[in-house]
Amino acid sequence: MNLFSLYRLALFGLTLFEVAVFLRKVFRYKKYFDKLPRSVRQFLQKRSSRFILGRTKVHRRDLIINGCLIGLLLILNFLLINFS
Amino acid sequence: MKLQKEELLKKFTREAKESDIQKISQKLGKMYKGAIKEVWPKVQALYKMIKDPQAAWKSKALAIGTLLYLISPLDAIPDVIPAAGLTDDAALIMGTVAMLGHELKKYLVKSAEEFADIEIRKHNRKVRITLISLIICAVIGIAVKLVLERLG
Repeated sequence: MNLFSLYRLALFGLTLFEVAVFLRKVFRYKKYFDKLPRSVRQFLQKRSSRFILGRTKVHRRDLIINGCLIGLLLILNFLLINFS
Repeated sequence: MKLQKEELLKKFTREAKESDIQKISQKLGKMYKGAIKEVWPKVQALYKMIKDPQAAWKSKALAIGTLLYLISPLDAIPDVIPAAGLTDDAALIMGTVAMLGHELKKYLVKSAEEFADIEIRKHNRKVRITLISLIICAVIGIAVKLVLERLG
């Protein structure tokens, strides 16, 4: 176990923690959301999906760069584990 | 204190002029701190309103008065007092936003989106820095392994 593995494990733990926090929030607010009238729910869903799509378009360049960096990191990890 | 706050706002609103916008532009950026952070999208909406030449002067004067109160260091609670110093400014901003209501709506929606953009940009930057540091670590790891294999 080297420092790089520890760093990766720490980041993985942080990711899991954030996912758990997100899921907890989803379950916490879902019951209130379900109580809303159907028309309000549909309105909110449409509005939020439009918002998310809009933000994705605005930040597409950043998302592509980060995606490429993740790809490069995966390749390097593959090389690190299998070839060296 | 409430009376003093209202009197100051009335004074700033009454004496508001176009040249104040320049003054506000120069100092507004420095006000992103303390309680003002919480109402920053509203501050930006007010700023957009005063920059809009088509906005009605009466509403604009109130917005200018509020922003002048915000940038003024000597108000009901002087801004130099930690934590409490900007709470009166934040309360005043909320009051002005409630008063301007519908007129401010078009600036507010845009501001909320811009606020989200700032946060997304910040997170993207953090993710990129983390990924780059991981890539550097991986490259160093590969190099160290290669060197150790050659030596061994």
